[in-house]
Amino acid sequence: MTGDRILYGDPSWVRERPEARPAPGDRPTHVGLDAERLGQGLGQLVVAILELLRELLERQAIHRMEGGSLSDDEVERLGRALQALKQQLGELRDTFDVRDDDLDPLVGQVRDLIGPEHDWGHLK
Amino acid sequence: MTVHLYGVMWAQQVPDVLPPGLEEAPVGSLREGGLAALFTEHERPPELDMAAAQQHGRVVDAAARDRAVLPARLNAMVEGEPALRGLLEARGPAFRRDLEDVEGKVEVVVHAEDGTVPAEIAALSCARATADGPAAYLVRRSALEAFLAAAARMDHPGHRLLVTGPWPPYSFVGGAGEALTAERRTA
Repeated sequence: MTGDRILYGDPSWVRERPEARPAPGDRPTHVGLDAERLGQGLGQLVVAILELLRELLERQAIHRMEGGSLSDDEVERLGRALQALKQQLGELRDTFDVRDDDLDPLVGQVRDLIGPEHDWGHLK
Repeated sequence: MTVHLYGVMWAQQVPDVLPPGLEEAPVGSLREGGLAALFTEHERPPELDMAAAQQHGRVVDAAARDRAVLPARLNAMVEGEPALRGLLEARGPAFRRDLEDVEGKVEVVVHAEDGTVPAEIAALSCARATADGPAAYLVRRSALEAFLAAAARMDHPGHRLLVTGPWPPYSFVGGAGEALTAERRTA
């Protein structure tokens, strides 16, 4: 994004469009938790869900950026916010000692829970 | 090798200099049948994050500044140069048609507070995209000034208007659209 992309008007009134929200999952799912490692397992689950949400937010941000519905300022702010989120998620991963090997199957299970009707695209 | 696609344009119009693309890779052009695909090569599929979106947008913006470009979406990737050449061959007719359609035009997005873009403004465009969201119009570069003047005339309290652009014609890659949003293939 380069240059000022507002050609005319005052952007202050532009409201957020309601984004598609995931419908509640209608199928039971089983997230593999070892009772003895419950604390760590819960931490992993939290990280997995946050990871999915972060990537979903990022995809929506990219989609809107490409669609031209964001000003340069908004793109900058979004970029910084998403970067901060990524960093904080990294810190959470360290706190809960979550490695990619642990996370990948869990992210898959969480995605299954949310349902195949949503486009998770490039998510691992 | 993963090939990331930025857009398709007429081969003789490829700019001499383009900014670097994803992962700061140099942008190359693959020419086939009068068309050129702008691309970068990557050892493995690049991560599609905000930085990637900005790098992608920078290349497309630079190429489309004063020429006709069919911009690819961020997720347009193929495996290897031969696949890219195959895409140009297979979709050549659609690419050419779309390039002719967007020649000399830019995409302009109109946000209308009450959800309705006044007909007086829409009449100054060549086409309107059918996708959801704010209304995207294809506008001749020569008509842009009149388009903005109309927006200023029709901008009233309760019917506020915001116009952004000029954008590469992301919403107007009709026949070529499917190819340019090709989902990335996983190994």
